[in-house]
Amino acid sequence: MAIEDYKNDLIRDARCSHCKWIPFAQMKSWRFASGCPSIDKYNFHTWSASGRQIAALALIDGRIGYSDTFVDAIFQCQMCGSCDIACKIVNDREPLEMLREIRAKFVKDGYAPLMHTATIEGLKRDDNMLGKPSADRAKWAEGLDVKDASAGKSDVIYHAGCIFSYNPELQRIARNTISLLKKAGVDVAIMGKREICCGGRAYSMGYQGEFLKYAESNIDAWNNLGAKIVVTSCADGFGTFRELYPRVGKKMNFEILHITELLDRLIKDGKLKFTKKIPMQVTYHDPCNLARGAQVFIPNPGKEHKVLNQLVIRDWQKVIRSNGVYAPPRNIIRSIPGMRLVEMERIEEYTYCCGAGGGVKETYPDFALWTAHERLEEAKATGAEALVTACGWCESNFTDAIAERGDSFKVYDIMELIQQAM
Amino acid sequence: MTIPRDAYKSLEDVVGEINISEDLAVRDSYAFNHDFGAGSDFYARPGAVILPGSAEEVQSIVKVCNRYGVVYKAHCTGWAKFSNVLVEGGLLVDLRRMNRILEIDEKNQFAVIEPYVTGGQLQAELMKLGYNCNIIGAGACVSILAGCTSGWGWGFSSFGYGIASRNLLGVEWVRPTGELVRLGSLGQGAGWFSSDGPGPSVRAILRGMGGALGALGIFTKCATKIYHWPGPRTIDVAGRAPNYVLAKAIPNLVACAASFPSYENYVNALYKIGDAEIAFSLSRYGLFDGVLQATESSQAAYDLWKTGKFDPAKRGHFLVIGMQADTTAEMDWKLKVLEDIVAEEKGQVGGGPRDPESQRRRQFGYIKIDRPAVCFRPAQLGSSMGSQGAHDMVMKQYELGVKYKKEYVDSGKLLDDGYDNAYMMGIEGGAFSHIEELFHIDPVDPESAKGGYEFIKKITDEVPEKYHLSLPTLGIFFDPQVCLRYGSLMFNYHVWQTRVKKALDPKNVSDPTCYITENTGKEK
Repeated sequence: MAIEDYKNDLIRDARCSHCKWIPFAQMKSWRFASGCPSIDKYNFHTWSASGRQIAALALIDGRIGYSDTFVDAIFQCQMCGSCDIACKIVNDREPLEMLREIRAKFVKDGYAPLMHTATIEGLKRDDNMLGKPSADRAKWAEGLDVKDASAGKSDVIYHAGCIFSYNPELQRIARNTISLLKKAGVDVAIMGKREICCGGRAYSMGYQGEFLKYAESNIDAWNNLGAKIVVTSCADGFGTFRELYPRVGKKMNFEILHITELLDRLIKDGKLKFTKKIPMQVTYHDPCNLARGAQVFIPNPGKEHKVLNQLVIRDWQKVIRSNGVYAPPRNIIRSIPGMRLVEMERIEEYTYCCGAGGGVKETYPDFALWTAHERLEEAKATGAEALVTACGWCESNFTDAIAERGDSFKVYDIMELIQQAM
Repeated sequence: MTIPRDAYKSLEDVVGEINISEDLAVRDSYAFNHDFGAGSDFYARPGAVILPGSAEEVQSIVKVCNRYGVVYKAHCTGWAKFSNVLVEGGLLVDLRRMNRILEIDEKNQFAVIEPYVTGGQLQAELMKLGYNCNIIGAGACVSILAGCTSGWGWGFSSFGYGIASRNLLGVEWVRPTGELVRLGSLGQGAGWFSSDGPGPSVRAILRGMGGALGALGIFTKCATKIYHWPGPRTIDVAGRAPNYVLAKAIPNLVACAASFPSYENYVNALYKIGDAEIAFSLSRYGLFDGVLQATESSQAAYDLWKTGKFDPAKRGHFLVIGMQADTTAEMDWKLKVLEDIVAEEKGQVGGGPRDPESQRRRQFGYIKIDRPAVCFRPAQLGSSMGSQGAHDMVMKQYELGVKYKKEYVDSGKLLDDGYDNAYMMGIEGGAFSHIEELFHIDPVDPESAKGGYEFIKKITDEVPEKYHLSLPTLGIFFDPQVCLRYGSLMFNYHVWQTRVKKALDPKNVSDPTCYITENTGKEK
């Protein structure tokens, strides 16, 4: 669907501003009440979901054209989906889908940020979002005794994802993951050099065509390899596979899991046991794509009808993106001996973004770091000694933010703690 | 139309380049709004949008506007057309950066806030200390200060927690010409505790009952009364969006209902409950909007509505009651008083006031006021009347609202909510209520929007004069012809408003559109 197909819903924007906040039912303080990093930093209404939709309506109606400020307003957004949750509590509209289609329009009309264009060129050339050579994709696995997925059927294919494959700080997490899975007796393989990007960040930047190519290619590859499970450490990738891939319309003969879901199962089955104590109080950051990106959702076909004269009914099932992967990472943390979990105020489906998503890290790095600092402040307010997360992009952005200020607060990927406790 | 260049440069010097914009996308994002039942549209396009960060910056902005003749208007959470600057090319002053809770004085029971503190935020902080506040009917997403200083202010808990205008204490006010004034005790250096005196109070000038809606300068801080909250310091919420519920019922808090066989019994009960001083919330909402609140989608609402269980024609006169107490003994007493009153008036208490599970499901909406916006889900919410008066009078207006609405529902222009979707809330703990006849239109359908406008106009034109009932303060009450007609019946208030406006705002740069314009200020 194009944004023009959502015109009725653009007109029906209630201007209630719920999109700027976490669900009011969950508000616990003045300080951590907001849900939208974009309006938090930039303050003009245009930088909210509602403002963007209204501006898009003005564009469609021919009232305004494109401008640098308009581009900034649209792309200074992590596409975290907080607005979607908050709006759908009181409305039947599709804020996140509309934001995606607005971006697609900007891209189609040639108004994507230049940095995004460059990133996508890199994706087309090297099949990753980091501009690194495709030949180096599998370097993280060098020396690791792990099956090549093409060599024979494996139950589980581990998709490392771009950031775990190429970021030197995170590569060890991918390596440790494989070691752990093998130790637990999992029949795991990797695609190695043939692993390619999930396409999810391209989608969120507005490059839906590029996404489609990667989605189709990955689905075909995994189907052909006969995998039962595709598991990934990357929450971004996970959300893409779980929520966006079904939109492609190809049958997926495999289950998509985030690594925390698989590990949680293995711990419960007794195949992984923690033997060392880690006496630490931590807080857990729900990555957006594990929280709000974990549900299948096919956007509506555009049909609506009215009953009771003016009651608008949509001909599709309303999906509120609240059934995310919340328990598995928490179960894991709680089962590590000595570890105590304290929760932040904004968690689960109303988690506050780390700052890295939606192409923001690439194009507006200062905004990405600003958002990370907001979240780190919330983490510290719990009294925790460290923040734990389950997404490479989150960890990378938090780490960058801490380094920027010379902070001593710790950030861990959940795999790091699991490894320490083994 | 843009702001004159010299004015723009001066404004930029006040707030910095990043806090002012004349980009068209920015301007239009503030031009669009809904007209509370008369449709949605792009109204006047502001010449620029500015984000001040302090009262001093607000003063400077207002002075620049006076110097260059730029019409300006304060804007907070901005929900509905009256929040917009409605003069083409005017300056919209978005107060979002002024968002702090400055002080919570527990001993004297007030909170000092800046404009962009929402009800949800203030309530969350107050509850930690054992206090609560009035949140207006629009819900937890809107500005507390705006309700106190500038517009209306009735809320679901106004029976016990007062209406926003009466909760207003000390005020910091940038007058239309830019002088900073501190009113009440604040102006005497005595703190925030009173909005009046010494000497004559200017609160009536400042806002009266309906509020000046941005036409008398900009309010930069205010103190608002806060109220004792005997409930928990944090609310333990269970469930997933959108179905949040309490993890367990809050002790000594009751959310229940009562139904009565006749209008007379119902009104008698309202007076008696007021006299007994047992409730903090006393209201009646339309069944259709009640169904909206109880469901998670329009489809689910329609499915529930179709069952016929909520047919307004069958349900009688019902009341929704909220009570709070410090002890179990106190709550037991209150419940017995309520039951006695209801029995005297041949009614029935429902909603499981003594059933913990029933209370767990019901209490949430009484506390958090987080879902009024759901009334926009099926289509745009509209409101008419917005009158206040004794319970008897309000009930008469409710019946008229239903009668007037029938034509517009039967013609298909308004959503068929069974005609009766009146929202009444008891205010100020006594014999007064506020009434709105709610309705829904689809802003995408011009005929529906037109029907909404015509319905509001008809009620506004006819109900007060024909039936000698209270003046509506919602809808199109600021229509110049309405002000002219009703002003002459009510102490020539429109003349006084005009004089106030001219005295305080000689250059007429504080957007007068929703207050009083030159066309309405005619003496009779």
